[in-house]
Amino acid sequence: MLQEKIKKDFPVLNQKFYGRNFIFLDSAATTQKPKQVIEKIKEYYEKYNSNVHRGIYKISVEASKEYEGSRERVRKFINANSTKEIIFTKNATESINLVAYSYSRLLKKGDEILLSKMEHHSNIVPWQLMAKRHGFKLRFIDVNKDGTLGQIKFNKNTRIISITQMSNVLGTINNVKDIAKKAHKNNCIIIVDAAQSVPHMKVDVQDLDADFLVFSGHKMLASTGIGILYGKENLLEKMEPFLAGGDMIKEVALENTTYNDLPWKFEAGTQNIEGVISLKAAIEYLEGIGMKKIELHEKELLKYALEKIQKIRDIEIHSSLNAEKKGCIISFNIKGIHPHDVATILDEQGIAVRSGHHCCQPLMNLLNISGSCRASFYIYNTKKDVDALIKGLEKANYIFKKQNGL
Amino acid sequence: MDSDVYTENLLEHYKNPKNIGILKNPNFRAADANTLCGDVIEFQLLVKGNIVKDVRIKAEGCAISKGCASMLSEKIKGLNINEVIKLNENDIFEMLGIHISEARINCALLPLVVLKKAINKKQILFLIIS
Repeated sequence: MLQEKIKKDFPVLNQKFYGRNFIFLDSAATTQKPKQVIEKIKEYYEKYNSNVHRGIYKISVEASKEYEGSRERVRKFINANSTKEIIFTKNATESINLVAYSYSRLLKKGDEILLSKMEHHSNIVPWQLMAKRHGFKLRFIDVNKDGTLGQIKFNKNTRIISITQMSNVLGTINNVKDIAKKAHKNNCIIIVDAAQSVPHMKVDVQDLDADFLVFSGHKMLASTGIGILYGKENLLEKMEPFLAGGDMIKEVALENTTYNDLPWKFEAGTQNIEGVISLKAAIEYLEGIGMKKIELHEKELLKYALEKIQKIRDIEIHSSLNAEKKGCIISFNIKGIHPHDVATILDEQGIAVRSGHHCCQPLMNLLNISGSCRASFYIYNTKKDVDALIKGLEKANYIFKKQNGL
Repeated sequence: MDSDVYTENLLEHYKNPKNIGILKNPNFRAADANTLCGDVIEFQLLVKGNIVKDVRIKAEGCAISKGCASMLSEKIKGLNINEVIKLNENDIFEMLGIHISEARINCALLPLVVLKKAINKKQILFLIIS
């Protein structure tokens, strides 16, 4: 287990709400920021705030160096071959949209896109738009009762499989390395939604042989508004720009434009410079701990939480109870209490959990529920946090069921 | 108190909601759902000579929306329809008598929204006919 003193690095977590220590169990939505990241953002605005790639003056050179330095840090973090393959976007959603819009132009009517029923809306809706526009067919891989991915079948016209590496509801970890192998055998590319996985485990894009991989800075300690798209250089070269404007050009005439080289071809306009810079500080913080250690910490915490939560009266846990095979996310309902009511009772005790459909309505339909509660953990969570959650859930049962003599 | 929100009164209305069912001949009726949390509320009213003679509701959802729908159905029974139209957010908060956080305001107001929809729909209909 990681040491409890990590919490001290996170100002938000050092507050008290309703007279109790604040416990944050919604890191699958966004993570809290350590002071090292906050300080880095402050440093940028106080010391070298300027636009990148343009100015020839001192602080612009410095900002550009930080900005591109962050790209190199990201490259190393996910073991990409080159910084040409690291594109900064607004979030993981924009990264998927970028691929959907630009790569779709290389496909033809009748081609098939393979998705799964455990995808986040952001990995479904862009493809629905593309299917409408280009006449693609969408097909969905089933989800088994234990929350694992069903059988994957490629058709001869399947051109893209876009799939999550870790479900934001079930915590299921999909073997994307194996899926990539099968996809490539079937002349199909794979896009990996790694928004939930990259913050929590070592991800190596070359080992996975992913064609594209997307994730978000704010789910891994960095600021909001910064997303990452990894793409294989040869594929990115073939694709047309997604957004057009300044910085993505080499030469502009009235009729025609020569696009900039990779990765800038896909970075139009002034970027989220503070976000990019904060990302480097976030990666340094995570690597300072070590991704393997983070993974082990979360496994132990999850095992502990699953053991305890199973004992709550009327609990229904969605997904597998095997901590070894899933991410640190538990989705659950308490029979007879609406998930929002559970979340409100926890909130009254200073505990933040998510309730609702978690941007996964197709999965909710499959589970036959309108929503669930979700507790998701990260490096700053401890067994004490789990104990508080358990106590909170017991209280929810007590408040709602005491008059029934239960 | 165990909770500032889940008072015994609210929980009583949640567990044993009043006026659940359907009316034979309602002259005001509307339903709405909050698709985000799966709540469904329906109001059916029988109004004679401007007085709400009978009310039936359908309520599926969280304790706040369901409990509130039940309380509201009791509150409007016997009221003049012109008074019902005038009900506003504050009346709902007062009726509930609990602390409603911003995140749950929509749950608390869904029943009033549906009730007003039922009445307004009818008014528009009256306008078209006349």
